[in-house]
Amino acid sequence: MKSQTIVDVRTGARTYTEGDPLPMEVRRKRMSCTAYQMRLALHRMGQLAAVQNVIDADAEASIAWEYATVIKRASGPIVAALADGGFPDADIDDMFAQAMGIEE
Amino acid sequence: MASWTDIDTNRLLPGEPWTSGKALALEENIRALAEQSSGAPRIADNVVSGEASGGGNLIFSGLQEYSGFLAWGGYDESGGADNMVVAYALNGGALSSNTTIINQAGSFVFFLDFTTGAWQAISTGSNLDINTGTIAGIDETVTDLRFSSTSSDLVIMATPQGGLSA
Repeated sequence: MKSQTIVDVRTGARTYTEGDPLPMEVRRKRMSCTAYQMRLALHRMGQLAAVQNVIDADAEASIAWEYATVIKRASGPIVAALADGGFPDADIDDMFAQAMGIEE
Repeated sequence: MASWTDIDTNRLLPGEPWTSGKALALEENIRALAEQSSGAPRIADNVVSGEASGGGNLIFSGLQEYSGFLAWGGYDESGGADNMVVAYALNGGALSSNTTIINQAGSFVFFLDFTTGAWQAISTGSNLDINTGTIAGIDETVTDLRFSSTSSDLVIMATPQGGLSA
């Protein structure tokens, strides 16, 4: 069931009903963070060095890691390199969740 | 432009003469009201707004007193390529007829005439688009309009109104 907001045009009152969580595929499309947020999140998670090793082994991911200002969960060489490097989807999701929680 | 005349209601009480002066003032007041002449009452407008996130539904209810709906809004395609669709309910019944009105993220303006079902929308995103159409089966008994997408965040400000005059 979708979340729902009902606006009564006679009063302007709004009623909100929580819906089911979005499918993971959709949630991943909505995940993005800055390079700063991702690095700080990985540092706090103790994963920065491990991720750096994976990135360094991939030429395109290295370019993106150095120059991209925004990192998207759903696409791009960084996420592809992480997946190829053996990071499970759930771990990558967690990286983005932690990063998005850091103030820019 | 017609002039607005303040009429002393004491001159309209039972037993007061119905004079041509009063009749002319009332007749001209109607036009003065429409033209918003100096001194005429301001015509009240209705403005409401709402938002939905992650493809949620945004429903405007209580539209039975209106015959048209003008809305400004935007959606973001943050969950991937998406369309904005509108459905309607008559007399508080079930919502039906999902009609795609906009197919690009960005800002939009949308108008729907309840009497004819004719709608038009302009949107500004990657392109400048005008979309038009007719929603079959709709009439002046519309009570609810639902705006929704698959996964986008959505925000709308709207003025329910009198629709297109016949």
